[in-house]
Amino acid sequence: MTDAPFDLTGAVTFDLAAGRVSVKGSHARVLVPAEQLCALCDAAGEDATRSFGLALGESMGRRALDALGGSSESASVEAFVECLAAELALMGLGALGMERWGRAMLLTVSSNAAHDGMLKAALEGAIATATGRTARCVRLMDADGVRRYLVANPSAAVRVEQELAAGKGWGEVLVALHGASPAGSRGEA
Amino acid sequence: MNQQIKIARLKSLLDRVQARAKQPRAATRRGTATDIAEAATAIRGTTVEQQPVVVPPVVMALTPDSSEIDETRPFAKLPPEVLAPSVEKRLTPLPPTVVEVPTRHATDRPPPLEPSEQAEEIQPEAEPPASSRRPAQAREEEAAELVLEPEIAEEKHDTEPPASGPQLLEMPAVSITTSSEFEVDFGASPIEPSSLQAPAQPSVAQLGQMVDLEELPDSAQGGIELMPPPAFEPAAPSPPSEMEASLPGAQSPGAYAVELAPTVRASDAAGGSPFGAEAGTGDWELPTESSGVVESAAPAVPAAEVHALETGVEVAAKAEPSPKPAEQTEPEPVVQEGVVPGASAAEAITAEPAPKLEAPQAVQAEPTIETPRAEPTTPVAQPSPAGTLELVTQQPVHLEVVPVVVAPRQVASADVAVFVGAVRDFKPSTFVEWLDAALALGGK
Repeated sequence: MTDAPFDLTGAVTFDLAAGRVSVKGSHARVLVPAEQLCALCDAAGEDATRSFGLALGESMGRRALDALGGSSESASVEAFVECLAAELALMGLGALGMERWGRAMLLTVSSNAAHDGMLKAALEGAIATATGRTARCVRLMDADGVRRYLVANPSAAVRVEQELAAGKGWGEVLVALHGASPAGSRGEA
Repeated sequence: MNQQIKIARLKSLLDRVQARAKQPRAATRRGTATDIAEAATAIRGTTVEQQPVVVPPVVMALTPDSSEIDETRPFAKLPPEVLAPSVEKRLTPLPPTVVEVPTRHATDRPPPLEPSEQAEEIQPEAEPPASSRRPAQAREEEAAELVLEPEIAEEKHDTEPPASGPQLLEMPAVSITTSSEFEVDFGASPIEPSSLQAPAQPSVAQLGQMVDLEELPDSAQGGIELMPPPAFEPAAPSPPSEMEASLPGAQSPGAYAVELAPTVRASDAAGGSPFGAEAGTGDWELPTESSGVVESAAPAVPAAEVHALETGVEVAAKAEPSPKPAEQTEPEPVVQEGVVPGASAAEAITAEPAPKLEAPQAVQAEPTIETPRAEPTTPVAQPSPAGTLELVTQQPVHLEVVPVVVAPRQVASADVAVFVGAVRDFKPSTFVEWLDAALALGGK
């Protein structure tokens, strides 16, 4: 994130005297091992993990929104991705990327440390907070430490999950997703 | 002339020093750096600069209270007994001979006094007996030499600056060989170089590291004394074949060698080392598993011969033994005469004008074991008859690539067209625009 559009200097503060860690002046953070956090998420269950991830994502989205000047409507794709990737990196959840498959939006996260359910929820929370849109993330693949998540609306996300569970390839699912969408729906919603 | 004058001056100085040494003085008081400096001053009329003792910072840990330390004089309040062990610890590893050698020989640099005097001052207890029994006269002699040597050094090396104390400790005693021009007879000098360089008795530190046999139990002593020396039985040199035969489960060397060859070839065909298992690595496969390979490879010889006869010179030239197996990986120009580059094996065989007579002989003389070794890079998945293998490897390899069309299943062509159109035409300008388009996929 050397060419980040905003300054990351002092983003993480270690107050050793008080034993406090904060990110951009936020509330106190706790540095915990990623493996233990994943184990805790597994033990907590899907709903609790999702709530935890959404809370993380909302804070990330707020900071990204602040970095974008308070509004993301006019933000370019590159600027938004950089801000969101910086927030994700500051949380230690991985390196964020974005891919475009037709009109489908795919987020790639290179990390083995983050819990999958927590990471999906964090991405959803960040997008929702920064853009005001409700989005769901569906994991399409996980290979070589890179995870691909499809950003879709909730109904489409459920359908995609069902198709993936049925054994379809995620490429087929993406193509079918374009065919199922009404023609000329670009820019709608 | 100059040498005689110098020698005369040195002798006169020596006489004066000896005369001064014979004068009665406090024998019980050990000489210090100040005493020797004063003696040198009295003799030469010059002042010997006494450099300060360098105390390592480790001494800071010995201070009882660090708050009382004056930064300008950190060791002013420390008693000498506190400072002395630290200095002694620093100088103890240096043998006394190294310290005093520059004081006895003419060196390239004028040696200062501190190291030798420090060694005498701070090591009164740990000093070896040879140096402790030196009389005061010896110290006077040293003082005289210390005065003499700068004079010699000034005449030979006037431009060199004097060395500091720590540099003196590292100075090798090689100057006496370079200054053979001056031969000064010191007569019955009490300083004997060998007395310090080779102490007759071991030091206390050395004794502490020795094993005291008397303290061992009697059983251990008896064991040590009665233990006979191991009888020297030179091992008979054994060839590698005997070592192989000594492997558990192995057969006789001859049979083992015969059965190893197919194993090697099998590993070569699988892409392993061209020589099979490496000697000494323990990778040799025992003939229990390779027996089947032998049986399958044995009929390959007649098959290769038959195939060689059928293919003519093409196979014969390839089957010729070569001292350099690595070169056989490339197609030989002789073999490829009359063959169009890139032609298949069948074309090469049919394009050959006439078979040569030596082809069958070469195949017959060539066992089937060596030929696979000459083709280490052959991409053959399974062992094949030797003749066939040679033919395939010597010919240009043709890989037939069948075009595979991977079409998405259960996806209508209309969907594919829509997707391709979206890839080509959709170019969002903002993130929100793209997000809206992505959220619109699949309907709601």
